[in-house]
Amino acid sequence: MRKRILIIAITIGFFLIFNNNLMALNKVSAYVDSKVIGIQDFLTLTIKVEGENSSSAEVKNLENLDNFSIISGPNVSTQVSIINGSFSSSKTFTYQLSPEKIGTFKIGPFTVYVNGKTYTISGITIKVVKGKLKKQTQTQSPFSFFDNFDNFDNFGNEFPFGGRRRRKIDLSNDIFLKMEVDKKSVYVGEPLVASLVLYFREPIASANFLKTGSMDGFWIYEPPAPKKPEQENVYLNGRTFVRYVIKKWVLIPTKSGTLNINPWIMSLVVRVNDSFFDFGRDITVKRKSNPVNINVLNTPKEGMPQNFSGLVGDLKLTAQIKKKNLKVGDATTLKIVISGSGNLYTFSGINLESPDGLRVYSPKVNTVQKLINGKYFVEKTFEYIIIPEREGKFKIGGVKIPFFNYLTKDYEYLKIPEFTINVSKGNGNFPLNVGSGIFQQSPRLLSKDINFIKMNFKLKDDSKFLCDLFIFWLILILILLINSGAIAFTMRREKLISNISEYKKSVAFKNFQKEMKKCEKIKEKSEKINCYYNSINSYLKDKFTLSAIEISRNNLRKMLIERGINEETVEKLISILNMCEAAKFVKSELDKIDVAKSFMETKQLINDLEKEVIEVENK
Amino acid sequence: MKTNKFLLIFIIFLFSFSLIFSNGKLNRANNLYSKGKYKEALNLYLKVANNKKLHNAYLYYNIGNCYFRMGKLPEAILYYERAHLLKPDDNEISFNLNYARSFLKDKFNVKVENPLELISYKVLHIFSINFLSYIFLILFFLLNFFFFFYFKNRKREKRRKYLYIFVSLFIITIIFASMLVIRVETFKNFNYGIVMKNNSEVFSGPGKNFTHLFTLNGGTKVKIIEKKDNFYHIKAGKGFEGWVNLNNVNKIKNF
Repeated sequence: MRKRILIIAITIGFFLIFNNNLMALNKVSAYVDSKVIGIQDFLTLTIKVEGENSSSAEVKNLENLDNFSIISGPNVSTQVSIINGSFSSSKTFTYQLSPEKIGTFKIGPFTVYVNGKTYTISGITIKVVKGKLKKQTQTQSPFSFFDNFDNFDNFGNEFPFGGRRRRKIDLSNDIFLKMEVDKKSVYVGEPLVASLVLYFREPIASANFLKTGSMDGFWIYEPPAPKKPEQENVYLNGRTFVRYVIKKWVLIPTKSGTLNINPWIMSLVVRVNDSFFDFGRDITVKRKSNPVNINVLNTPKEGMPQNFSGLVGDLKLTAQIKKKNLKVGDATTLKIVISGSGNLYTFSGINLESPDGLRVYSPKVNTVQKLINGKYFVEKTFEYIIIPEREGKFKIGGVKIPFFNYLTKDYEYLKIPEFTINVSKGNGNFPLNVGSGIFQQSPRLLSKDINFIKMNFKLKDDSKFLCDLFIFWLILILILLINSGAIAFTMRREKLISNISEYKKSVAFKNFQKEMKKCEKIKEKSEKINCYYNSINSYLKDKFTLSAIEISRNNLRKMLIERGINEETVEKLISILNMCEAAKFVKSELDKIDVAKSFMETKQLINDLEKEVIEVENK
Repeated sequence: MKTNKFLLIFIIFLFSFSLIFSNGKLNRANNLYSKGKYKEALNLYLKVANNKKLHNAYLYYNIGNCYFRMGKLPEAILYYERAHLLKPDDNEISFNLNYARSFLKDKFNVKVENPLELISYKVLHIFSINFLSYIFLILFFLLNFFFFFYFKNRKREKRRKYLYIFVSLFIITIIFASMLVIRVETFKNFNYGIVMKNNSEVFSGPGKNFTHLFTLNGGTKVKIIEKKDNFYHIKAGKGFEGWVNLNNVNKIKNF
């Protein structure tokens, strides 16, 4: 039993190992579409990995293709198929390559990694010949309907306009790309202008870059493309060409030795007309520019100033100071402009020393560069803000900047003249007026902290409020009371005024008393008596609402008795009235009267009368 | 009579002297603070506050600043809170309080989150209680004045004019009066405290034998609901409620 199990186990294990080996087996191959190509052709390289783990395949070592450049790729495609239960998969890497030279070259070997394993494919030999061997890749022109006849041999001959097979067109001498430089030998820092120029005789429909050439060791400035392209007709070997400048650069070498401008490769679509009746067809061609070697020299050691910073060019300097007479705290600007053709762009700055008492701020630097008629021009402006801190005469400037002039091939100096600044006493604290706007920037919050303590305040108890105080409520109550009183008073007064007779009635006794007081003050006897008489009369008039006529003796007696007044009182009143009347007209009667007594009597009488009236009214 | 006059002069003299003396202390404290001697300044400020037995917002604010500079955050917050309670409309006090709060470990402060409540809080705290009182007094006087004029005038047009003025004034007075009442009531019923010690234990009941619910750090503002034995029943944000030893919490309004 044990033996049997062992045999089965061994068999299964063996099968598994074998099967695993089978599964891990990958087939790796590389092939090209053509082994002989023209220099203007493209080569298609395909690397194919077949097998179980092909999906994880990776191609390495393709970057270092000598004499060929990768134009596109890798284009990766994966295929998986299951046929009759058997599983197969493949992964394909496709590259488009462009030859750079004529000759026989070997591409590869190629290394492929599949699931951790390395596979190496031996290289392929390719022969590159002059011209173009492959059939043109044709793009249909808008009128290329007839192009289709080309595919049908019989139709071609029957072309209604006597059309015939297309002639083979050789464009190799009609279109070429050239890298042109204005100087081949320069000093380090000396600018040169390189142009990528296309010469052509056939119209170009479109163009695009396949490969950009590197320009190592140069500081590069590419000016913006001109609005009107640089294009002219030129004679070359007795033939007319159109010279078209595609790109322009200003190159400033940063190191000595031989520096290369590597070739650029372009793909161009050319419009060709075979015959008069042809509407044209498009042919794609490839063009490569020539490599250029630039010989770069170091600036001579002989005569090199000690503080030479590497500034090279054909340069000049101008310096200007805005104000020479200043007050403490006022600002002025020193403007230094260096211009010309040279490596100014990389020039860091001027060592402008600030004398004690003058504050010189780091400059605002502005650089402008452009190509003028194919010549490089650069202008660098340094603007120094100067603020004097105290009074006096200060000198600033007087600095010499050495540079190498490549035209005279000698060292020269840019001279900043010495300026004298007169500073007089200012009218405020330093710093005050910073003239230029460059210092005016919105303040930046550096940190946060608590506010400072309160210094001046009254030590009063803030927990006691006005509304807690007795006086607050007292004022409120007073306002309320005064208002209520005022309203009550007004109401009563209004009510009284609304009924005048009632009012008069109510105030009759009061008025009588007032009148009597006035009468008391009168000294002349007759007038005094007269005053009594009038007071009684007006009291009666008001109290009983009588007219002047009604105060005849009989009427009065009758009316008073009717109103329920005591007869005795009435008689007394009438006697007093009579007495007064008599005294008014007869002097002897006047003498008889005792004024003090009559006054008391009158007062008493009216008092009694008033009481009686009130009693009657209450009844 | 003469002795009375003498006594009066003496009292006035004593009062003004004490005022000058305390102001001198205050100035000295301010100078010390300016020189960075926060501890000395604090002692003087506290002396002024204790001697006078008064509650001045700016004095509390300065004390808060001293504590803050000394690195005593809970004390600083306590005094800022006191100052803020007395002068809620002062921006510098509010700023320092918020700035000090930003250093707190616990972020679950009793904060108004409902926008409506926030707006009403802001509106209520535009004016100080004293200012509201003055306004109310003036409005009350004007109200009475115009009511009287309305009552007195017989001409219909003028009466109507006075009525309009009176009604508008009445509405404004009611608004200000309610604001004043709410403010005074909130002030009187203000019962919040500041946790003074870090890791203050909060229990489920007034005693250490109850379940330990959570721990509060110094500077946290808590609402004091009631007091029992040696414990405060407190609430510190949503869902955080319990009892804490009263030695660990200082009442903001201790007056």
